[in-house]
Amino acid sequence: MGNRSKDLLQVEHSHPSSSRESSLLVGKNDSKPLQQKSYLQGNPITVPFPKSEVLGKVKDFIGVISEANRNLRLYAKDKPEEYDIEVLTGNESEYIKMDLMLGIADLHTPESLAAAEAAIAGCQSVINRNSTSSSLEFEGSSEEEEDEEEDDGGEDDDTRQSGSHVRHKDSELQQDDFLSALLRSHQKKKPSKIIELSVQSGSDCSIRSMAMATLRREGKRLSPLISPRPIEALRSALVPYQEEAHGLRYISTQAVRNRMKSVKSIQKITKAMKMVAASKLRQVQSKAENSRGIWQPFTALLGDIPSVDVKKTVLVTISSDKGLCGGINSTSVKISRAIHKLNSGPDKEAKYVILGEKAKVQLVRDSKKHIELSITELQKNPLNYTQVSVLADDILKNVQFDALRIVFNKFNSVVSFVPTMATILSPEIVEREAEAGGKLGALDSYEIEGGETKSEILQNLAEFQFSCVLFNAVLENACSEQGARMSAMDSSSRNAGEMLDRLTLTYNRTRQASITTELIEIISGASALEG
Amino acid sequence: MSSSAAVPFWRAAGMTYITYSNICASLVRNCLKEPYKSEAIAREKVHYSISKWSDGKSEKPTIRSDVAED
Repeated sequence: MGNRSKDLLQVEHSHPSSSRESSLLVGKNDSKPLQQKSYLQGNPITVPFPKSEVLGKVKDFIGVISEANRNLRLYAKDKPEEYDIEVLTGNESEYIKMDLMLGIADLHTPESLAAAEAAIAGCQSVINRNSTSSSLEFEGSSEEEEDEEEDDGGEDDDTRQSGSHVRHKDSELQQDDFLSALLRSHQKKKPSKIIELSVQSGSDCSIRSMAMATLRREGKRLSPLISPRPIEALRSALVPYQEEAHGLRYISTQAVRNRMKSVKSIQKITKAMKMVAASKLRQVQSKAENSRGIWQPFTALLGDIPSVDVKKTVLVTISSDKGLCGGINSTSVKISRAIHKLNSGPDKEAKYVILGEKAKVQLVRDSKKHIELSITELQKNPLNYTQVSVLADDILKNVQFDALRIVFNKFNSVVSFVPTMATILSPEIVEREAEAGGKLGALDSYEIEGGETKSEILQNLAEFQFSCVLFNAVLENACSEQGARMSAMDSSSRNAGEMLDRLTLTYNRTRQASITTELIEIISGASALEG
Repeated sequence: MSSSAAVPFWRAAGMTYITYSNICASLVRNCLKEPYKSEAIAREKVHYSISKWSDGKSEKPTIRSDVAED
């Protein structure tokens, strides 16, 4: 029985083709005894037929095949572009369709087959069902497949009878069986059809030989692509899919719950900050409103001339030390920049004196050359006049000025702040303006008591005016800061509440969906058991 | 009458009107009776940190504070 197939194998070996293909052939060879056995058992009354002429044809054809293959190789070497199956010109009239799936193609030993099936069935452990009988390839598959095989065997009988008319020798049967089993097993082992071939016509031998050649080429092409450890590759490809499917069953609400927790704590913080800002605002608001009475007499006497044109301007920008208070700091910085631009030129210069951390941070970026002084930590204690007057004294001692311009946010209401500039003139400029007339012209009508000169009085007045106006400005700005912080915290806790509502809705929906799914599963399982 | 004569003196000492008035205010506060005196003194706490800038760089800030002293 082995002679013919050995011949065939030797033909294979004489042309050193790919190991892939020869191993395939060995695998099929091993399966033959079973095939034959079942065939013989199924049809015990087989009568030996007279010697077929097809066998002789086959014998001759082996030589023809090998010759054709050799020629094919030679031609392929000369004109590789014509024989490259990868390149399609679109003019192909006839072709054999081969749908291959990588990784599964080399499951030709029973162990690997069992492992692959175990993996596909979702079973993690590889059960080596046929470790003892390595030749029983088809038994490695499930019973279902064996049934199929029996059906296939019946069909095969028909095919064989119509294809090659007479069979009377084991060897012939085996040869034929071998080829058809090879093709059939390929169709079987791969989920998608590998070869769509009609094995019916009379000249099936030639078709088969063509198929063999094609297989050989295909095998060569595939061999580098197929991983040396196919089972591992198969398993690793399958495992993430399984995990994904596993995760889909149980929708996790953990992420939503964590987010809800964090939003809730943020809301708590913003609410607390709002309360603190509200109580601070109440304290500072009365102070600020009372302090307005301090600067009003000065404005009545010395006036507030924002349009005065002087050489040395000092901008006192008032801001807060802490953030999270809306746009009050950036507003005062913007106004300060604009005034700085207005009051600087070829013969004029303007300098900054910055109160508060936030304006410092913003002004350092583009105008750090013009910063003269920066003052922070002003609001550590509750604001009082002594503190601000000492600060004003410090500023007066450290800067040279013709006019001081204080930029701050005047408190109007909890939600409205007016960026304001207060101007304090130096005594010299006051005198100049008084001489020029205008608003300060009435200053000369005042009578001066005591031994001081007018300039001395004006100096004292200017200093005191600055400290009073600065005190009011600091208070107004602190008041605006607290009001802005209050409204900012109010809106942020409202937003946090909205977000929390949305998250709660999502959470409850997800929970309800999972409960519903579980109920459906239980009910359908129960009804399936009953039915 | 004494105040009119005093002006040149504190000016000569390098004081501004603000310093002068602050000293006057603290004197008045010290004239208060207890418990108003300590209350008024505790209210007027000075604390801030000031730093001079030169050539676009801030010098080391100095802290003006009477909180630790009191």
